[in-house]
Amino acid sequence: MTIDYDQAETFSDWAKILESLLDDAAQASTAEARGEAAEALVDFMQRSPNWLAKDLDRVAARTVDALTLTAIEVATQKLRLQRLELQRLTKVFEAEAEANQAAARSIRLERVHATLKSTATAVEDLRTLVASLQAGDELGAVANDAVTALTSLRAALASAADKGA
Amino acid sequence: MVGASVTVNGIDAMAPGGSRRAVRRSLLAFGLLLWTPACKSLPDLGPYTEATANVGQGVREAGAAVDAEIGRLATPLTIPLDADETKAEAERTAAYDKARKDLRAQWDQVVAAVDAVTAYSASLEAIYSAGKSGAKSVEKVADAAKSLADKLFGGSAPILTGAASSAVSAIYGEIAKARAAKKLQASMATMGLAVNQMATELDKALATLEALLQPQPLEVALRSRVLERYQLEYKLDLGQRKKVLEAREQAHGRFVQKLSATAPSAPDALAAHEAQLEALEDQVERLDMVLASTEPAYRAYTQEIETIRVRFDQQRRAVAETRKAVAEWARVHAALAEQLETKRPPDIAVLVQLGKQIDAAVESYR
Repeated sequence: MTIDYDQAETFSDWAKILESLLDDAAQASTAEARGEAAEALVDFMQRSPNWLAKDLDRVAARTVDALTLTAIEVATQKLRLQRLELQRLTKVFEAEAEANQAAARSIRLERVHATLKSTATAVEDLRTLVASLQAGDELGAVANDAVTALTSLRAALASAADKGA
Repeated sequence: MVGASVTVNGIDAMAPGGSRRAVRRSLLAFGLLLWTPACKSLPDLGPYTEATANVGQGVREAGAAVDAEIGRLATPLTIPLDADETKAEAERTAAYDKARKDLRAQWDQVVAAVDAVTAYSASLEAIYSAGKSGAKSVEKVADAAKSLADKLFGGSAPILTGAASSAVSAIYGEIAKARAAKKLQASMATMGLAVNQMATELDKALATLEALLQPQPLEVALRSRVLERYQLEYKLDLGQRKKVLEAREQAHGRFVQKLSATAPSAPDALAAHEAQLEALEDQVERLDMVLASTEPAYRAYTQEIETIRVRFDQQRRAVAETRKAVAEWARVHAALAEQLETKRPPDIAVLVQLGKQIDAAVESYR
Protein backbone atom coordinates (compact mmCIF):
# COMPACT_ATOMS: atom_id res chain seq x y z
CA MET A 1 0.00 0.00 0.00
CA THR A 2 1.30 3.45 -0.92
CA ILE A 3 0.92 5.96 1.86
CA ASP A 4 1.04 9.69 1.24
CA TYR A 5 2.71 10.87 4.42
CA ASP A 6 3.05 14.42 3.07
CA GLN A 7 -0.70 14.94 3.45
CA ALA A 8 -0.74 13.92 7.12
CA GLU A 9 -1.05 16.96 9.36
CA THR A 10 -3.41 16.27 12.22
CA PHE A 11 -3.58 13.50 14.83
CA SER A 12 -6.58 12.12 12.96
CA ASP A 13 -4.57 11.93 9.71
CA TRP A 14 -1.83 9.95 11.41
CA ALA A 15 -4.35 7.73 13.19
CA LYS A 16 -5.96 6.83 9.87
CA ILE A 17 -2.59 5.87 8.42
CA LEU A 18 -1.80 3.72 11.45
CA GLU A 19 -5.19 2.05 11.23
CA SER A 20 -4.52 0.93 7.69
CA LEU A 21 -1.07 -0.35 8.69
CA LEU A 22 -2.58 -2.32 11.57
CA ASP A 23 -5.06 -3.89 9.15
CA ASP A 24 -2.16 -4.98 6.97
CA ALA A 25 -0.37 -6.42 10.00
CA ALA A 26 -3.47 -8.33 11.10
CA GLN A 27 -3.84 -9.89 7.68
CA ALA A 28 -0.17 -10.82 7.31
CA SER A 29 -0.10 -14.62 7.24
CA THR A 30 3.38 -15.23 5.80
CA ALA A 31 6.82 -14.37 7.10
CA GLU A 32 7.33 -11.99 4.19
CA ALA A 33 4.02 -10.20 4.80
CA ARG A 34 4.74 -9.93 8.53
CA GLY A 35 8.17 -8.50 7.72
CA GLU A 36 6.75 -5.91 5.35
CA ALA A 37 4.09 -4.93 7.87
CA ALA A 38 6.74 -4.47 10.58
CA GLU A 39 8.92 -2.36 8.26
CA ALA A 40 5.94 -0.16 7.40
CA LEU A 41 5.17 0.35 11.08
CA VAL A 42 8.76 1.40 11.85
CA ASP A 43 8.59 3.75 8.87
CA PHE A 44 5.43 5.22 10.41
CA MET A 45 7.24 5.72 13.74
CA GLN A 46 10.10 7.49 11.98
CA ARG A 47 7.82 9.84 10.01
CA SER A 48 5.17 10.70 12.56
CA PRO A 49 5.97 13.74 14.73
CA ASN A 50 6.58 12.56 18.22
CA TRP A 51 4.94 15.54 19.88
CA LEU A 52 1.73 14.79 18.00
CA ALA A 53 1.61 11.03 17.55
CA LYS A 54 3.55 9.66 20.53
CA ASP A 55 0.70 7.34 21.58
CA LEU A 56 0.25 6.13 18.01
CA ASP A 57 3.93 5.30 17.88
CA ARG A 58 3.55 3.17 21.01
CA VAL A 59 0.76 1.21 19.33
CA ALA A 60 2.96 0.77 16.26
CA ALA A 61 5.87 -0.42 18.40
CA ARG A 62 3.72 -2.98 20.24
CA THR A 63 2.44 -4.26 16.90
CA VAL A 64 6.00 -4.70 15.68
CA ASP A 65 6.64 -6.70 18.87
CA ALA A 66 3.57 -8.87 18.21
CA LEU A 67 4.73 -9.58 14.65
CA THR A 68 8.22 -10.42 15.90
CA LEU A 69 6.95 -12.72 18.62
CA THR A 70 4.81 -14.52 16.03
CA ALA A 71 7.88 -15.03 13.85
CA ILE A 72 9.85 -16.43 16.82
CA GLU A 73 6.94 -18.76 17.67
CA VAL A 74 6.83 -19.99 14.07
CA ALA A 75 10.57 -20.70 14.19
CA THR A 76 10.18 -22.50 17.51
CA GLN A 77 7.40 -24.61 16.07
CA LYS A 78 9.54 -25.54 13.05
CA LEU A 79 12.35 -26.67 15.34
CA ARG A 80 9.86 -28.58 17.49
CA LEU A 81 8.81 -30.56 14.42
CA GLN A 82 12.45 -31.57 13.90
CA ARG A 83 12.93 -32.68 17.49
CA LEU A 84 12.09 -36.38 17.16
CA GLU A 85 14.29 -36.87 14.11
CA LEU A 86 17.15 -34.97 15.74
CA GLN A 87 16.82 -37.08 18.90
CA ARG A 88 16.92 -40.29 16.84
CA LEU A 89 19.99 -39.14 14.91
CA THR A 90 21.68 -37.98 18.12
CA LYS A 91 21.32 -41.48 19.56
CA VAL A 92 22.68 -43.04 16.36
CA PHE A 93 25.77 -40.81 16.46
CA GLU A 94 26.29 -41.32 20.20
CA ALA A 95 26.06 -45.10 19.90
CA GLU A 96 28.50 -45.17 17.01
CA ALA A 97 30.89 -42.88 18.87
CA GLU A 98 30.79 -45.19 21.88
CA ALA A 99 31.40 -48.28 19.74
CA ASN A 100 34.29 -46.53 18.00
CA GLN A 101 35.87 -45.51 21.30
CA ALA A 102 35.64 -49.14 22.46
CA ALA A 103 37.30 -50.24 19.22
CA ALA A 104 40.05 -47.65 19.73
CA ARG A 105 40.65 -48.94 23.26
CA SER A 106 40.85 -52.46 21.89
CA ILE A 107 43.38 -51.43 19.23
CA ARG A 108 45.39 -49.74 21.96
CA LEU A 109 45.36 -53.10 23.83
CA GLU A 110 44.06 -51.28 26.90
CA ARG A 111 42.35 -54.32 28.40
CA VAL A 112 45.43 -56.50 27.98
CA HIS A 113 47.56 -53.79 29.53
CA ALA A 114 45.15 -53.27 32.41
CA THR A 115 44.89 -57.02 33.11
CA LEU A 116 48.65 -57.45 33.17
CA LYS A 117 49.08 -54.45 35.43
CA SER A 118 46.38 -55.53 37.88
CA THR A 119 47.74 -59.08 37.97
CA ALA A 120 51.21 -57.75 38.75
CA THR A 121 49.76 -55.60 41.51
CA ALA A 122 47.86 -58.59 42.92
CA VAL A 123 51.02 -60.68 42.98
CA GLU A 124 52.89 -57.89 44.75
CA ASP A 125 50.12 -57.51 47.32
CA LEU A 126 50.10 -61.23 47.94
CA ARG A 127 53.84 -61.29 48.52
CA THR A 128 53.52 -58.44 51.00
CA LEU A 129 50.72 -60.26 52.83
CA VAL A 130 52.66 -63.53 53.08
CA ALA A 131 55.71 -61.70 54.38
CA SER A 132 53.69 -59.95 57.06
CA LEU A 133 52.01 -63.08 58.40
CA GLN A 134 53.38 -64.65 61.56
CA ALA A 135 53.76 -68.44 61.84
CA GLY A 136 50.63 -69.98 63.33
CA ASP A 137 48.58 -66.92 62.46
CA GLU A 138 45.01 -67.83 61.71
CA LEU A 139 45.45 -66.21 58.34
CA GLY A 140 48.21 -68.66 57.61
CA ALA A 141 45.85 -71.06 55.91
CA VAL A 142 44.57 -68.31 53.67
CA ALA A 143 48.09 -67.34 52.81
CA ASN A 144 49.00 -70.90 52.03
CA ASP A 145 46.04 -71.16 49.69
CA ALA A 146 47.08 -67.93 48.05
CA VAL A 147 50.64 -69.11 47.62
CA THR A 148 49.33 -72.35 46.15
CA ALA A 149 47.22 -70.31 43.72
CA LEU A 150 50.24 -68.21 42.86
CA THR A 151 52.30 -71.36 42.23
CA SER A 152 49.55 -72.72 40.00
CA LEU A 153 49.42 -69.43 38.11
CA ARG A 154 53.14 -69.52 37.60
CA ALA A 155 52.97 -73.16 36.42
CA ALA A 156 50.14 -72.31 34.03
CA LEU A 157 52.05 -69.37 32.58
CA ALA A 158 55.22 -71.43 32.22
CA SER A 159 53.24 -74.21 30.55
CA ALA A 160 51.64 -71.76 28.16
CA ALA A 161 55.03 -70.34 27.34
CA ASP A 162 56.44 -73.82 26.72
CA LYS A 163 53.59 -74.64 24.38
CA GLY A 164 54.08 -71.38 22.53
CA ALA A 165 57.77 -72.07 22.18
CA MET B 1 42.38 -60.19 17.35
CA VAL B 2 43.08 -59.01 20.84
CA GLY B 3 43.15 -62.54 22.16
CA ALA B 4 45.72 -63.50 19.59
CA SER B 5 47.87 -60.51 20.41
CA VAL B 6 47.74 -61.47 24.09
CA THR B 7 49.17 -64.83 23.19
CA VAL B 8 52.02 -63.23 21.34
CA ASN B 9 52.70 -60.90 24.18
CA GLY B 10 52.52 -63.86 26.47
CA ILE B 11 55.25 -65.42 24.38
CA ASP B 12 57.25 -62.18 24.50
CA ALA B 13 57.18 -62.22 28.21
CA MET B 14 57.18 -65.86 29.13
CA ALA B 15 59.11 -67.85 26.51
CA PRO B 16 61.61 -69.73 28.70
CA GLY B 17 64.38 -69.92 26.14
CA GLY B 18 63.11 -73.10 24.42
CA SER B 19 62.89 -73.57 20.69
CA ARG B 20 63.83 -70.29 19.00
CA ARG B 21 62.58 -71.55 15.68
CA ALA B 22 59.18 -72.14 17.21
CA VAL B 23 59.19 -68.59 18.46
CA ARG B 24 60.00 -67.34 14.98
CA ARG B 25 57.25 -69.48 13.44
CA SER B 26 54.78 -68.18 15.98
CA LEU B 27 55.71 -64.59 15.33
CA LEU B 28 55.43 -64.93 11.56
CA ALA B 29 52.20 -66.89 11.78
CA PHE B 30 50.77 -64.32 14.13
CA GLY B 31 51.72 -61.45 11.88
CA LEU B 32 50.41 -63.02 8.71
CA LEU B 33 47.28 -64.37 10.38
CA LEU B 34 46.22 -60.88 11.39
CA TRP B 35 47.33 -59.28 8.15
CA THR B 36 44.07 -58.94 6.32
CA PRO B 37 43.98 -58.72 2.53
CA ALA B 38 41.94 -55.52 2.84
CA CYS B 39 44.77 -53.81 4.67
CA LYS B 40 44.78 -50.10 3.90
CA SER B 41 46.80 -47.13 4.90
CA LEU B 42 44.96 -44.80 7.26
CA PRO B 43 43.24 -41.87 5.55
CA ASP B 44 43.85 -38.25 6.50
CA LEU B 45 41.02 -37.35 8.86
CA GLY B 46 42.13 -33.71 9.08
CA PRO B 47 39.60 -32.22 6.62
CA TYR B 48 36.76 -34.14 8.27
CA THR B 49 37.78 -33.07 11.77
CA GLU B 50 38.03 -29.48 10.56
CA ALA B 51 34.62 -29.63 8.83
CA THR B 52 33.06 -31.05 12.01
CA ALA B 53 34.62 -28.31 14.12
CA ASN B 54 33.27 -25.67 11.72
CA VAL B 55 29.77 -27.13 11.93
CA GLY B 56 29.92 -27.36 15.73
CA GLN B 57 31.15 -23.82 16.17
CA GLY B 58 28.76 -22.40 13.57
CA VAL B 59 25.67 -24.08 15.01
CA ARG B 60 26.50 -22.98 18.55
CA GLU B 61 27.21 -19.41 17.46
CA ALA B 62 24.05 -19.18 15.36
CA GLY B 63 21.94 -20.22 18.34
CA ALA B 64 23.81 -17.86 20.65
CA ALA B 65 23.41 -14.97 18.20
CA VAL B 66 19.64 -15.33 17.92
CA ASP B 67 19.34 -15.88 21.66
CA ALA B 68 21.31 -12.68 22.32
CA GLU B 69 19.18 -10.64 19.90
CA ILE B 70 15.95 -11.80 21.54
CA GLY B 71 17.62 -11.04 24.86
CA ARG B 72 18.23 -7.47 23.68
CA LEU B 73 14.55 -7.18 22.78
CA ALA B 74 13.59 -8.58 26.18
CA THR B 75 15.71 -6.04 28.05
CA PRO B 76 13.38 -3.57 29.78
CA LEU B 77 13.85 0.16 29.41
CA THR B 78 15.54 1.85 32.33
CA ILE B 79 13.97 5.26 31.86
CA PRO B 80 11.10 6.55 34.02
CA LEU B 81 7.75 5.48 32.53
CA ASP B 82 4.17 6.22 33.42
CA ALA B 83 1.90 3.49 34.82
CA ASP B 84 0.54 2.34 31.45
CA GLU B 85 3.96 2.30 29.87
CA THR B 86 5.39 0.40 32.82
CA LYS B 87 2.67 -2.25 32.52
CA ALA B 88 3.13 -2.53 28.77
CA GLU B 89 6.89 -2.77 29.25
CA ALA B 90 6.55 -5.61 31.78
CA GLU B 91 4.22 -7.51 29.43
CA ARG B 92 6.48 -7.19 26.43
CA THR B 93 9.56 -8.21 28.45
CA ALA B 94 7.74 -11.29 29.76
CA ALA B 95 6.57 -12.21 26.25
CA TYR B 96 10.09 -11.97 24.80
CA ASP B 97 11.53 -13.91 27.76
CA LYS B 98 9.07 -16.74 27.17
CA ALA B 99 9.69 -16.77 23.41
CA ARG B 100 13.44 -16.83 24.05
CA LYS B 101 13.11 -19.70 26.53
CA ASP B 102 10.91 -21.74 24.18
CA LEU B 103 13.24 -21.25 21.21
CA ARG B 104 16.30 -22.05 23.32
CA ALA B 105 14.69 -25.29 24.53
CA GLN B 106 14.23 -26.43 20.93
CA TRP B 107 17.69 -25.25 19.85
CA ASP B 108 19.24 -27.23 22.71
CA GLN B 109 18.26 -30.37 20.82
CA VAL B 110 20.13 -29.11 17.75
CA VAL B 111 23.18 -28.44 19.93
CA ALA B 112 22.88 -31.94 21.43
CA ALA B 113 22.85 -33.35 17.90
CA VAL B 114 25.98 -31.37 17.05
CA ASP B 115 27.61 -32.60 20.27
CA ALA B 116 26.91 -36.17 19.12
CA VAL B 117 28.41 -35.35 15.71
CA THR B 118 31.50 -34.00 17.49
CA ALA B 119 31.73 -37.13 19.66
CA TYR B 120 31.50 -39.28 16.54
CA SER B 121 34.29 -37.28 14.90
CA ALA B 122 36.40 -37.62 18.07
CA SER B 123 35.81 -41.37 18.06
CA LEU B 124 37.06 -41.62 14.48
CA GLU B 125 40.12 -39.64 15.59
CA ALA B 126 40.58 -42.07 18.51
CA ILE B 127 40.59 -45.04 16.14
CA TYR B 128 42.98 -43.21 13.84
CA SER B 129 45.35 -42.41 16.73
CA ALA B 130 45.16 -45.95 18.09
CA GLY B 131 46.03 -47.24 14.63
CA LYS B 132 48.95 -44.86 14.30
CA SER B 133 50.37 -45.66 17.73
CA GLY B 134 50.02 -49.46 17.58
CA ALA B 135 53.74 -50.03 18.15
CA LYS B 136 53.65 -47.89 21.30
CA SER B 137 50.61 -49.81 22.59
CA VAL B 138 52.35 -53.13 22.22
CA GLU B 139 55.45 -51.71 23.93
CA LYS B 140 53.31 -50.70 26.89
CA VAL B 141 51.80 -54.18 27.03
CA ALA B 142 55.28 -55.71 26.77
CA ASP B 143 56.45 -53.54 29.66
CA ALA B 144 53.48 -54.64 31.76
CA ALA B 145 54.09 -58.27 30.82
CA LYS B 146 57.74 -57.93 31.78
CA SER B 147 56.77 -56.42 35.11
CA LEU B 148 54.43 -59.32 35.82
CA ALA B 149 57.01 -61.88 34.70
CA ASP B 150 59.64 -60.27 36.93
CA LYS B 151 57.32 -60.61 39.89
CA LEU B 152 56.52 -64.24 39.14
CA PHE B 153 59.91 -65.45 37.98
CA GLY B 154 62.22 -62.97 39.60
CA GLY B 155 65.27 -61.86 37.64
CA SER B 156 65.14 -65.00 35.48
CA ALA B 157 62.10 -63.80 33.51
CA PRO B 158 62.57 -64.97 29.93
CA ILE B 159 61.55 -62.16 27.58
CA LEU B 160 62.18 -61.06 24.05
CA THR B 161 64.49 -58.10 23.99
CA GLY B 162 66.11 -55.73 21.51
CA ALA B 163 65.46 -56.39 17.84
CA ALA B 164 62.96 -59.17 18.52
CA SER B 165 60.88 -56.89 20.67
CA SER B 166 61.11 -54.15 18.04
CA ALA B 167 59.96 -56.55 15.35
CA VAL B 168 56.91 -57.57 17.35
CA SER B 169 56.13 -53.89 17.96
CA ALA B 170 56.47 -53.20 14.25
CA ILE B 171 54.17 -56.09 13.40
CA TYR B 172 51.54 -54.92 15.79
CA GLY B 173 52.01 -51.38 14.49
CA GLU B 174 50.94 -52.57 11.05
CA ILE B 175 48.19 -54.73 12.49
CA ALA B 176 46.88 -51.77 14.47
CA LYS B 177 46.79 -49.68 11.29
CA ALA B 178 44.90 -52.42 9.47
CA ARG B 179 42.45 -52.82 12.34
CA ALA B 180 41.95 -49.06 12.53
CA ALA B 181 41.41 -48.76 8.77
CA LYS B 182 38.92 -51.63 8.85
CA LYS B 183 37.01 -50.14 11.76
CA LEU B 184 37.03 -46.65 10.19
CA GLN B 185 35.72 -48.11 6.96
CA ALA B 186 32.95 -50.03 8.75
CA SER B 187 31.95 -47.06 10.89
CA MET B 188 31.90 -44.51 8.06
CA ALA B 189 30.02 -46.90 5.77
CA THR B 190 27.44 -47.56 8.49
CA MET B 191 27.04 -43.86 9.23
CA GLY B 192 26.77 -42.66 5.62
CA LEU B 193 22.99 -42.43 5.62
CA ALA B 194 22.82 -40.96 9.13
CA VAL B 195 25.37 -38.29 8.18
CA ASN B 196 23.26 -37.23 5.20
CA GLN B 197 20.11 -37.18 7.33
CA MET B 198 21.87 -35.19 10.02
CA ALA B 199 23.16 -32.71 7.42
CA THR B 200 19.60 -32.23 6.15
CA GLU B 201 18.24 -31.66 9.65
CA LEU B 202 21.02 -29.26 10.64
CA ASP B 203 20.56 -27.30 7.43
CA LYS B 204 16.81 -27.05 8.10
CA ALA B 205 17.43 -25.86 11.64
CA LEU B 206 19.97 -23.28 10.47
CA ALA B 207 17.58 -22.08 7.76
CA THR B 208 14.99 -21.49 10.48
CA LEU B 209 17.42 -19.30 12.44
CA GLU B 210 18.61 -17.61 9.26
CA ALA B 211 15.02 -16.54 8.59
CA LEU B 212 14.92 -14.85 12.01
CA LEU B 213 18.14 -12.99 11.22
CA GLN B 214 16.86 -11.51 7.97
CA PRO B 215 16.13 -7.76 8.12
CA GLN B 216 12.71 -8.83 9.39
CA PRO B 217 11.73 -9.73 12.05
CA LEU B 218 14.46 -9.36 14.70
CA GLU B 219 16.48 -6.56 13.09
CA VAL B 220 13.43 -4.41 12.39
CA ALA B 221 12.14 -5.05 15.92
CA LEU B 222 15.45 -3.83 17.35
CA ARG B 223 15.35 -0.74 15.15
CA SER B 224 11.83 -0.12 16.40
CA ARG B 225 13.05 -0.58 19.95
CA VAL B 226 15.91 1.91 19.59
CA LEU B 227 13.59 4.47 18.02
CA GLU B 228 11.01 3.95 20.76
CA ARG B 229 13.63 4.50 23.44
CA TYR B 230 14.82 7.77 21.85
CA GLN B 231 11.22 8.94 21.57
CA LEU B 232 10.30 8.02 25.13
CA GLU B 233 13.39 9.81 26.38
CA TYR B 234 12.42 12.84 24.27
CA LYS B 235 15.90 12.77 22.81
CA LEU B 236 14.85 12.72 19.22
CA ASP B 237 11.73 13.44 17.19
CA LEU B 238 12.54 12.04 13.78
CA GLY B 239 9.22 13.13 12.29
CA GLN B 240 9.71 16.69 13.48
CA ARG B 241 13.33 16.69 12.37
CA LYS B 242 12.21 15.59 8.92
CA LYS B 243 9.76 18.47 8.73
CA VAL B 244 12.44 20.96 9.81
CA LEU B 245 14.77 19.58 7.19
CA GLU B 246 12.12 19.99 4.52
CA ALA B 247 11.35 23.55 5.66
CA ARG B 248 15.06 24.38 5.63
CA GLU B 249 15.43 23.02 2.10
CA GLN B 250 12.44 25.05 0.92
CA ALA B 251 13.69 28.26 2.56
CA HIS B 252 17.15 27.75 1.15
CA GLY B 253 15.71 27.05 -2.29
CA ARG B 254 13.70 30.25 -2.20
CA PHE B 255 16.72 32.21 -1.00
CA VAL B 256 18.89 30.91 -3.87
CA GLN B 257 16.12 31.58 -6.34
CA LYS B 258 15.71 35.15 -5.15
CA LEU B 259 19.44 35.74 -5.00
CA SER B 260 19.94 34.61 -8.59
CA ALA B 261 17.03 36.66 -9.87
CA THR B 262 17.76 40.08 -11.32
CA ALA B 263 17.53 42.64 -8.57
CA PRO B 264 14.91 45.36 -9.14
CA SER B 265 16.28 48.78 -10.07
CA ALA B 266 13.70 50.89 -8.27
CA PRO B 267 15.01 51.80 -4.76
CA ASP B 268 11.82 50.69 -2.94
CA ALA B 269 11.60 47.39 -4.78
CA LEU B 270 15.30 46.77 -4.20
CA ALA B 271 14.92 47.38 -0.47
CA ALA B 272 12.00 44.94 -0.33
CA HIS B 273 14.01 42.41 -2.32
CA GLU B 274 16.94 42.65 0.09
CA ALA B 275 14.63 42.43 3.12
CA GLN B 276 13.11 39.24 1.73
CA LEU B 277 16.58 37.79 1.11
CA GLU B 278 17.60 38.65 4.65
CA ALA B 279 14.43 37.10 6.08
CA LEU B 280 15.00 33.90 4.14
CA GLU B 281 18.63 33.83 5.26
CA ASP B 282 17.51 34.24 8.88
CA GLN B 283 14.98 31.46 8.46
CA VAL B 284 17.61 29.10 7.08
CA GLU B 285 19.93 30.02 9.95
CA ARG B 286 17.22 29.39 12.56
CA LEU B 287 16.35 26.05 11.01
CA ASP B 288 20.06 25.18 10.87
CA MET B 289 20.25 25.92 14.60
CA VAL B 290 17.29 23.65 15.29
CA LEU B 291 18.86 20.90 13.25
CA ALA B 292 22.22 21.43 14.96
CA SER B 293 20.56 21.08 18.37
CA THR B 294 19.20 17.65 17.41
CA GLU B 295 22.37 16.58 15.57
CA PRO B 296 24.16 14.79 18.49
CA ALA B 297 21.04 12.71 19.29
CA TYR B 298 20.44 12.04 15.60
CA ARG B 299 24.05 10.96 15.12
CA ALA B 300 23.90 8.65 18.17
CA TYR B 301 20.64 7.17 16.90
CA THR B 302 21.93 6.52 13.38
CA GLN B 303 25.10 5.04 14.88
CA GLU B 304 23.03 2.57 16.94
CA ILE B 305 20.97 1.62 13.90
CA GLU B 306 24.15 1.15 11.85
CA THR B 307 25.66 -1.04 14.59
CA ILE B 308 22.57 -3.25 14.49
CA ARG B 309 22.68 -3.45 10.71
CA VAL B 310 26.37 -4.40 10.64
CA ARG B 311 25.89 -7.00 13.40
CA PHE B 312 22.99 -8.64 11.59
CA ASP B 313 24.94 -8.62 8.31
CA GLN B 314 27.76 -10.48 10.04
CA GLN B 315 25.37 -12.95 11.66
CA ARG B 316 23.60 -13.65 8.38
CA ARG B 317 26.95 -14.28 6.71
CA ALA B 318 28.04 -16.57 9.56
CA VAL B 319 24.86 -18.68 9.34
CA ALA B 320 25.17 -18.89 5.55
CA GLU B 321 28.77 -20.06 5.99
CA THR B 322 27.69 -22.63 8.56
CA ARG B 323 25.09 -24.02 6.16
CA LYS B 324 27.87 -24.40 3.61
CA ALA B 325 30.04 -26.06 6.29
CA VAL B 326 27.26 -28.58 6.99
CA ALA B 327 27.14 -29.53 3.30
CA GLU B 328 30.94 -29.73 3.23
CA TRP B 329 30.96 -31.91 6.36
CA ALA B 330 28.65 -34.46 4.72
CA ARG B 331 30.65 -34.33 1.47
CA VAL B 332 33.99 -34.91 3.22
CA HIS B 333 32.50 -37.80 5.19
CA ALA B 334 31.28 -39.42 1.97
CA ALA B 335 34.64 -38.87 0.27
CA LEU B 336 36.50 -40.43 3.19
CA ALA B 337 34.14 -43.40 3.30
CA GLU B 338 34.68 -43.91 -0.41
CA GLN B 339 38.44 -43.69 0.02
CA LEU B 340 38.30 -46.34 2.74
CA GLU B 341 35.99 -48.48 0.67
CA THR B 342 38.48 -48.58 -2.20
CA LYS B 343 40.26 -51.89 -1.87
CA ARG B 344 44.01 -51.64 -1.91
CA PRO B 345 46.46 -54.56 -2.03
CA PRO B 346 48.48 -55.10 1.14
CA ASP B 347 51.80 -53.37 1.19
CA ILE B 348 54.00 -56.39 0.43
CA ALA B 349 57.19 -54.38 0.87
CA VAL B 350 56.28 -53.73 4.49
CA LEU B 351 55.58 -57.43 5.04
CA VAL B 352 58.88 -58.45 3.50
CA GLN B 353 60.71 -55.92 5.63
CA LEU B 354 58.97 -57.18 8.73
CA GLY B 355 59.89 -60.76 7.87
CA LYS B 356 63.52 -59.70 7.66
CA GLN B 357 63.27 -57.93 10.99
CA ILE B 358 61.81 -61.03 12.58
CA ASP B 359 64.56 -63.18 11.07
CA ALA B 360 67.17 -60.85 12.49
CA ALA B 361 65.42 -60.78 15.83
CA VAL B 362 65.23 -64.54 16.08
CA GLU B 363 68.85 -64.89 14.98
CA SER B 364 69.89 -62.58 17.77
CA TYR B 365 67.95 -64.77 20.17
CA ARG B 366 70.06 -67.86 19.39
